[in-house]
Amino acid sequence: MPVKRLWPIGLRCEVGATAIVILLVTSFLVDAAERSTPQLEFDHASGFYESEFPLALSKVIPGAVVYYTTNAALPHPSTGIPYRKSIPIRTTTIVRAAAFKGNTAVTDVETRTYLFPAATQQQSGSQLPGSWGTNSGSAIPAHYVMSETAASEEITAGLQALPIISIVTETENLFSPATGIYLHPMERGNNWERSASMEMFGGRNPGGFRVNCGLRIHGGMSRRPEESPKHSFRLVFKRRYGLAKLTFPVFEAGQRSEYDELILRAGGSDSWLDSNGERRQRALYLRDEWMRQSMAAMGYPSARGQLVHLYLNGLYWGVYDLCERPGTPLTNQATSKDDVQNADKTESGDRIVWDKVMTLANSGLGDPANYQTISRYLDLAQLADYLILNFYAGNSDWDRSANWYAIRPRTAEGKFRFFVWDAEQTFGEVDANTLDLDDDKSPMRLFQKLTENSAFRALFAARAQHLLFQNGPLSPAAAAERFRQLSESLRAALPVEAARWGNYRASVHQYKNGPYEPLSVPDHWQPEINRLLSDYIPRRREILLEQFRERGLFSVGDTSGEP
Amino acid sequence: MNAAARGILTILALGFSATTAWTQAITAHASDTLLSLNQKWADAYQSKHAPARVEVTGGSAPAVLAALADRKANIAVIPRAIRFKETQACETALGKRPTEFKVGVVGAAVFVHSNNPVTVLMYEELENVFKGKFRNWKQLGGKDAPITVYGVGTNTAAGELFGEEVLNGKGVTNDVQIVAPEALLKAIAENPNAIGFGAFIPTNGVRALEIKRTYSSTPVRPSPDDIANRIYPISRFLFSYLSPAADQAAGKAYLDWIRSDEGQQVAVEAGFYVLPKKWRATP
Repeated sequence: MPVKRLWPIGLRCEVGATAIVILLVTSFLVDAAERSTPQLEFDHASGFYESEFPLALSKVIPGAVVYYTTNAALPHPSTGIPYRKSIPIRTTTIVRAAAFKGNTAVTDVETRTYLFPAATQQQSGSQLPGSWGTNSGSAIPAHYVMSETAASEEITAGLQALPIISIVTETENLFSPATGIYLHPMERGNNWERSASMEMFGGRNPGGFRVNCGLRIHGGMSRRPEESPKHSFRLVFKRRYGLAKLTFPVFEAGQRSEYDELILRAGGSDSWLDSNGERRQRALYLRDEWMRQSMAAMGYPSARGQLVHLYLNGLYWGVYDLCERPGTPLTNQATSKDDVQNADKTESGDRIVWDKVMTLANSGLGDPANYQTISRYLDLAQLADYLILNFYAGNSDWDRSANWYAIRPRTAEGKFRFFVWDAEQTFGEVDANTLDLDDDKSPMRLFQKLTENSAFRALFAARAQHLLFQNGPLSPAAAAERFRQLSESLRAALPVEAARWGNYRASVHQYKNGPYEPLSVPDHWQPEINRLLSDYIPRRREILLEQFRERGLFSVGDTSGEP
Repeated sequence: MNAAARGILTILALGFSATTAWTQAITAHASDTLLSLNQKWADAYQSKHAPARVEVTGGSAPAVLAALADRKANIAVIPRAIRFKETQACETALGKRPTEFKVGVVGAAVFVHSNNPVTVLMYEELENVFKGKFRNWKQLGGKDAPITVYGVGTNTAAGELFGEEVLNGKGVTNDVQIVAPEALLKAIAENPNAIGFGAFIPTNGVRALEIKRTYSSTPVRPSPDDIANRIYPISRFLFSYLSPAADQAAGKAYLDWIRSDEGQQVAVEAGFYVLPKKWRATP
């Protein structure tokens, strides 16, 4: 069976007598020539609309009857609505349709998402569960409505500021008391993966795709409903759902890429849902993205991301960061799998070399022979850069069990490189000093042991000089510019997130500690951006260098070349 | 002097020298919270390795390492790794860095009443509790009730560990009731709103919390195995540093004995944890 691919079929601006498209949308469909079954065609593409319209479907199989649903259920003659002339689309509507002969489907199920901003602001989720799991026996209240925290025009404009991801899956897949993944967010593995349709459209960049996939809850602490009612998702592409891989330039226009899976990051402790009131006030929704972009700016492979709005079965679910997951595809090892350590979990290959590295480190690296040996397994310059970035950002949430990747090609010369992941607890106090963090079997332990060695201290100082001065990727100008660009890309979209989740801790579920107040772009997000741009970034380099000097990792003379 | 006479003198001299080295006391300086343990080690070692002598002196960890650099101590025993500047000081004074030996493990647990619904806390939350910022269990995801805080003194190994590892050495708020180790668990068992830190001792009526270092860490419940293997976060090695200026054979023999099953049994009886064999093989 040939691998099905996604191909663009063109940009369509849909304007009809009764429907006015407010966004240009592009429809990408699975290549019909490679399909094993015929497909239905829709005369309106997924996207935002502001007036009602009749949706027409084409019947491609003589004698077949098209059935459709508007409740996210898969269509079937026993439960679907037989298609006659057209489907009136008057408000946000999910249409799923397929042609049947008798009870046998003769086309694939096609899914389209028609969104009306006004309906988004009125969404209620009234038919859905009132709670999302429990904590110590107490129900965690569900939350579907949008607060009236922004003008209608601001919401409409905000929705257009980022691409849309629309996930559609049968309601039970999310909310069944027994098997719904949103009601059982702590469950993991294949048994808790559900089939879904994923579409991407809208935003400033034309283009998008539609694909069937597997849907899982993703994450660590953010899985806990009391910690975050807004969960992250993992989207997996498997032949059983239609395509073995998603083939589409998700992150960079003009570059075709293949993905086995993608992550929709909810924001976790860099969001307005965090259980810590002070962190809520400082939420930016872009700390992790900035960190991953910084690794890329240093010239290393790093998981790419794209801020998006997520709709779940037609309900607005918030701002997410759609991103790659570190793993073999990032290292471009076309011919061999890598050893992939996701903190203490081995995701690919084995941990033989990783354990050898840690044993060597723990035996002491002051010894030149040990240092020489460990340099065969670690890309020391890359590790130094990775550590400097984490120290620069004051990353306080990583240890042996969480929030980093180490990957090496399984070759004789393969060296571990390190990848930023889940770096949400960064950019706290400007004088944060995280150089003393230490935990066995982690990058911090490698740091503690490597700094016993004068050669590594010299390398570290040279890398700090390179990164922090003369417009290096962590120099004040370059660091600020990345923040500025990211914040500009998010600012207009964030009032929609504020309407969706900004009041949750104040009004719906107070958990752990306050302050419990409505959170907004002008009162919280923008002041935090200002703090980073006017205080943290301008002052951080000198503070960090002093911390390095204290540890013998930088000397006064190392700042040469900077005015 | 003929060759035979010279040989006799040489043998006598070597014998005298060896005896002198063997009977010369090993000076072990230990940080204050490890003083009692080190005295127990010294006593047990001397009783079985006559005529070996070990003299034990206490002090703060920095003072103990300074004594090493000043050649007043052959061995320093502290509950943390030597720091960069301390290593530099030793290298400058002694020409080489001291040799590091792990000699044991210490752990501290955080206890609540067995009916308390809170099961996991992270360092940041513990810091907020023991520094007085959080005063209600609701702030930790528990019920709406005031928190009563207990702890053992920093003159105990567990108290010192908790203060340095969890509270960053900044000390507890005055609201924390410092009690003797034996009184800690009794006080918590009698108060449903109590929390306290001390040595890990499984006891009816109290529950040791699962602890995680950071927000995203995997929580770990204390157990002797997980403390000894440093999987449980509030744990650390006890380190010995052997001066390069000291008699290496005598010092290493003593440290090897401390790291033997016999020496580790002494540590366990003193409330510490067995250093797993994987960490005994190399200095």
